[in-house]
Amino acid sequence: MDNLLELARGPLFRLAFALMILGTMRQVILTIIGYLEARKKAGDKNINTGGLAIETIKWLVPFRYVKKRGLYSLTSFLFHIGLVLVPIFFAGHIRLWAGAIGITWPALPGPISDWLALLTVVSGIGLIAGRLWNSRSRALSRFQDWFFTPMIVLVFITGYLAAHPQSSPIGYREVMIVHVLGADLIMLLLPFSKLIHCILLPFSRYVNDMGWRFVSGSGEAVLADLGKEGKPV
Amino acid sequence: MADKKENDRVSATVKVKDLRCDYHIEPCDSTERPRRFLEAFASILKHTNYGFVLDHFSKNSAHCGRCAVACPVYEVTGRIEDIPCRRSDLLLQVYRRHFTPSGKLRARLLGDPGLDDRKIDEMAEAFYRCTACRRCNLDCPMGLDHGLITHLGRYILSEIGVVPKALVVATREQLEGKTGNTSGIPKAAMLDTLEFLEEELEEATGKKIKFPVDVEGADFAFFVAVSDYLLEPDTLMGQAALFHATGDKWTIGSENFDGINYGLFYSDWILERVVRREIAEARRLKAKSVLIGECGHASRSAKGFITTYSDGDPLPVSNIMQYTARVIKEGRVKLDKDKIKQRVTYHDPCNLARSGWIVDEPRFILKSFVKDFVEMTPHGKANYCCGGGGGTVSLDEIHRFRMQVAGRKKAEQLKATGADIVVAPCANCKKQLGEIIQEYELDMEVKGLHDLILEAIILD
Repeated sequence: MDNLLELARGPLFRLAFALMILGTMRQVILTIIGYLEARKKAGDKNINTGGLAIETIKWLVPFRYVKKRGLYSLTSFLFHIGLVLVPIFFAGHIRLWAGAIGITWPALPGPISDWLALLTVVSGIGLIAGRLWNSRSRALSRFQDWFFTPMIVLVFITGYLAAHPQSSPIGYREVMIVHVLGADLIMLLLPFSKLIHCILLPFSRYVNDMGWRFVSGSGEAVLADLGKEGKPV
Repeated sequence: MADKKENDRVSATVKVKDLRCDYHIEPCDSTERPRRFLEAFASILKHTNYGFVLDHFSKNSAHCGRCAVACPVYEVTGRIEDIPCRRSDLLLQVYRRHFTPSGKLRARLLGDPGLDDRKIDEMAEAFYRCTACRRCNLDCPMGLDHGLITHLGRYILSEIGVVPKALVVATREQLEGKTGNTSGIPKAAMLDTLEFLEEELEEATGKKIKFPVDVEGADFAFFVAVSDYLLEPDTLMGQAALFHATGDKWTIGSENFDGINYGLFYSDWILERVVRREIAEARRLKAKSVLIGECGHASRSAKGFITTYSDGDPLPVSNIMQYTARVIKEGRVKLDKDKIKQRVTYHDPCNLARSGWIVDEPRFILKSFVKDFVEMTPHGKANYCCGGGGGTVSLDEIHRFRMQVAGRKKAEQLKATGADIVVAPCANCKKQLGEIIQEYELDMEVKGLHDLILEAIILD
């Protein structure tokens, strides 16, 4: 048991973390290269970079979209706060990061970490229930949509229990193994799944904008490829 | 009236939810459609930037389904198939399956046969149930633009002959026909119309107001949706009266006077050819800029693509409402504030308002002389599509779908305003709103913005 735990938070953690960082960097670099290449081809290069940045930032403020489907939007927003903050700013994690990459940063006060974690657990369960409850949401869902939210909730529950061993009904080691293995798995899959939106989201407005910048002559080139050059409309 | 009865009869038997969007297509090669679809798709990916967009969408679409709350079609039908991200996924699946290494590998492992005729039929309907209004873009937490996917889906489909006949017939006349415009109006008939309108204007205002044709070096080369010459004389006369008041130089080109561009709805090469004709005409006239009439998609296709297809030195593009707002602000035109007594509301055409491009100008204009102006809820960037967007208004065969499904939210909105006049700048919106008013028996009329200007303008 101890060996497994050591494996999970030693080599496996380092592997998952390294793959997550490398995979994410690859995605970001590919997106930037893709954008620059698209820009080179686009006929209209007058891009309102600042305006798009403002649009993107505006979208991260929740008040704008809780107006519609308020409960769902709010739940989803609350879910994401803990999800982003706790893995990075929980004091116990910072010690772990310090051991792995050698740098530290200020931690969230313990009670705040706790509350954020619980908020993510509760809202995560709410999101799963919503997906199950609504027949249309069920129909939209793919395997990964069913997989990640419960996985995240599990990792957060076990994380909370690990931080509060006195209130845990199961042993610390078991809890830690599930927590660390789950987290490893999530990190490992992040670059290859929809979780990548955590880092690619800010590019969306730019991608849309570029999508509508067509390539001069591209349509005629397609016609030539398809042997339809000069054919009537 | 007969139509109304017919509708009632049918809606009693067919639920709104089940109304189909079955449009007519021209006879075409229906063999090996999947292979031909993929060939066209591959070629389009090679020559354009769509691959980059599809990659990003594939990675980021979280299938949260939040876009559903924004879609006027889904709001009415509640069908899973009408949820924007589900619709986009039809094409994204094809992309992943056939054009990404991971998709190909997955297909091999799972034995996925790939694109088939059924999926093509599903896309063919889905991408025209969508009116390309892009309202869902405002509500997607990932910021994905499903309207762009609808555009691409229609483009690929058009390359295998799946495209509404009405759009192709109009475009054929515009690009290859004798008249060179979508309504098939001969040049002589257009000139006659202008002459007639000048007489009408003189009768109404007592002034000799001209419709300048082929004047070189004007400030504005003017293009409208060509149907305005047949259907919207008041809009045209209002615009002419306005230019008469300001004295700015404008001109209509006799070689090409059609701003309509159905390419925006279904094909990039059609879009490019139409825009290039527009550029050529403006250059022939040595105009300083391009001015588009009220029409939404004509404005967006010029504004969005004249730079792309100009091969350097693009002419600036503006919409007539921007011009009108400016000259009112500058005090160069006087409007009688007591002329319009009815309650007026304004319909935002998606192609003008969704991006936030032209939202304030029409309101500024209307409020400057209309006393009783009311807004629809919601309006501006978040307006509801009239239900005939993306060229679907031209498809008479889907009239019932447009009325009962795509236009239903708009009908509710219109009714709630209690307005006597709905100002709709766009030619397509005008047609659809007129039909909605009939269908839902609303006590309201549709007008262009410059129709009201014509009524209220004070000419010295």
